[in-house]
Amino acid sequence: MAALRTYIIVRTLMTIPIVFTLLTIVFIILRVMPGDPITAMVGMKAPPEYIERLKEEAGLNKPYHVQYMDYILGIIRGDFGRSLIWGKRPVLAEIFDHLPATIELTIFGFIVSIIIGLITGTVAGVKCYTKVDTTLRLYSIIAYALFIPWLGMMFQLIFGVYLKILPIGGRIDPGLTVGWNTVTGLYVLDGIITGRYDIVLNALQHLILPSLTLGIVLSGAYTRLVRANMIDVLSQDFIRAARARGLSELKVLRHALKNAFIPILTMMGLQFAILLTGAVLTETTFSWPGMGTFLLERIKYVDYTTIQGTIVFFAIFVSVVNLVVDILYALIDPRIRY
Amino acid sequence: MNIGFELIRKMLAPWLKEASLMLKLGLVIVITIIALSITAPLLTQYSPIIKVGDALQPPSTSHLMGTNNLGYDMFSRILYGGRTVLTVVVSATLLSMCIGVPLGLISGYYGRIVDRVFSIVMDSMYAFPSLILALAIAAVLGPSMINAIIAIAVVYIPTYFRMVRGQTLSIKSLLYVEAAKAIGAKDSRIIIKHILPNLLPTIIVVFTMNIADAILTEAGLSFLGFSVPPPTPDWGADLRAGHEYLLAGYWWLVAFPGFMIMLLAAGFALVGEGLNDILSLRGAEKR
Repeated sequence: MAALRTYIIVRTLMTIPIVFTLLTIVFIILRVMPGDPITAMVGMKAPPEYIERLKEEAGLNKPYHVQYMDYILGIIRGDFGRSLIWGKRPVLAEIFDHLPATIELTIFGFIVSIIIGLITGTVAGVKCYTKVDTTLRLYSIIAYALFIPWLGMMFQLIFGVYLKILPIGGRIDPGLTVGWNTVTGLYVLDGIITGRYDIVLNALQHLILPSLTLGIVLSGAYTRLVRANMIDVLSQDFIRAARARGLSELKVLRHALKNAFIPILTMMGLQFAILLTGAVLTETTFSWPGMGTFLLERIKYVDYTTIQGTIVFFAIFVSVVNLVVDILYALIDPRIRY
Repeated sequence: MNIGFELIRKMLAPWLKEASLMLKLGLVIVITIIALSITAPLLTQYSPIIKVGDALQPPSTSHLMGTNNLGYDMFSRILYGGRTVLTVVVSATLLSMCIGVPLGLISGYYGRIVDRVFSIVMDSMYAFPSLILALAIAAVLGPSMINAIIAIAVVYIPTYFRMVRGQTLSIKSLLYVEAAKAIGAKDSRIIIKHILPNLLPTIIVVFTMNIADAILTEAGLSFLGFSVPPPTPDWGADLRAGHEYLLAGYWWLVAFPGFMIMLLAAGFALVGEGLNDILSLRGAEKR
């Protein structure tokens, strides 16, 4: 256990320079890079006084080193600044308003991709080097090449416009949430907690198309990973031993899957960044009120502090998720220790 | 040796067939799209940015892919849009290769503090959601073709860096590099003459796969409104413009641009896969 504790401590400490580097990169992009964000977003035609005032409000007129210190110290204190528009709410509060929508979408998208990936990957691994395998390999390439908004729109066309059986945008029918207090912000979970099953059903209906879109596009990577691991595991001695003992093919497969799953977990960490990228596009396509829609809306309104806060939040979020995945991996696989 | 070689070749034959199939399919797709974009003026009489008829006409013989909400010919926008996409994507990936490869070589060869600093910066960038990074850069720089190229290029530098650094580390310790060092070859000579040529096959594979990914990132940027400004034809931007008319059932506004994005990305991914299969087989044959 001591070794595991050391690993967790060292891995956690390693996150600090990574987060710090990311924060610096964000700072360089938003403040030091040629071109100035406010002018770029407002457009050249805006009156210079107006641009100056916006810069003043966002604190962009101070020297770089002062700006940098303010910025880093603010984040360490947990102060992401206040929005420049609409009541000047704290940026963090606005982020937490929109985060649950994105989390709900990514969870469901992730589940879809894992289910498709496990099935296709296992089949391809068991039938490796056959026509089935080649077809599934093609599937994984095409799934990867699908452009999320396009796949989403095709679903919207088929299920929303022609068949009219599924909603094509939003998280829930607006009328339903009147007088309903959310607990976590995840509608499906909140509906179950508060016993409002009509909300659960409605939220799930709204989730089907976005999570299918996100899930299918991300499934290709899992197909390949599961396939490669299955081939690897199936050729190992313990599987041959299991077969020799006369275990049914299904039981052998269960053995294999369990072992093939460990490397898949590491990939989930890396996939998470891709998942978030996908979520931004999915949200825009399905008018999903999450972090992506929020960020784009604020870029449009030149709400500089919110834009910076949101990107910083993404950076910290990704680093923490990677940390958690690495620790989980260490818990499952006893070989990973310092 | 001959018998052994023959045996290996026989064992690998089905693989080679599959590999070449992927490569062929990919090359056909990529070359066709490139050819269509280059010969666009010969294939269509319409300009992509001039009103040529009534708005929102469905596909017909005079307008193969219909017209959009401004009365522009969609077929012509698809052809000319290919030019935009290919220009942005190929320039961006070349740019990130030209920056990422030297950095990776230096980092892997010299090691120590330089390596530490480069690695942590590149790893952090690699872990960050690519589209959001590109979006931030493009938003600060403002929408234009050059800025889209820069934004996409920055995002993919770590891809080259990580691959080249890793390989340089392993090649550096090989005997022939040690030998070159022993006879007093300069560092620059060892890197350029002895290490880089060994990396080229991998760089080519990564480059093609990278183009596939960059196509999707470019489409994402322009879908969100951060690539070339209108009315320049661009698949991602056309998709966004068409989205507003989706509910009314004008399917041709979104179906074609998005399909082209998928086709081109899949084409490059197939070429990358095929090349990868063949190159890894060569490695196996040598052994």
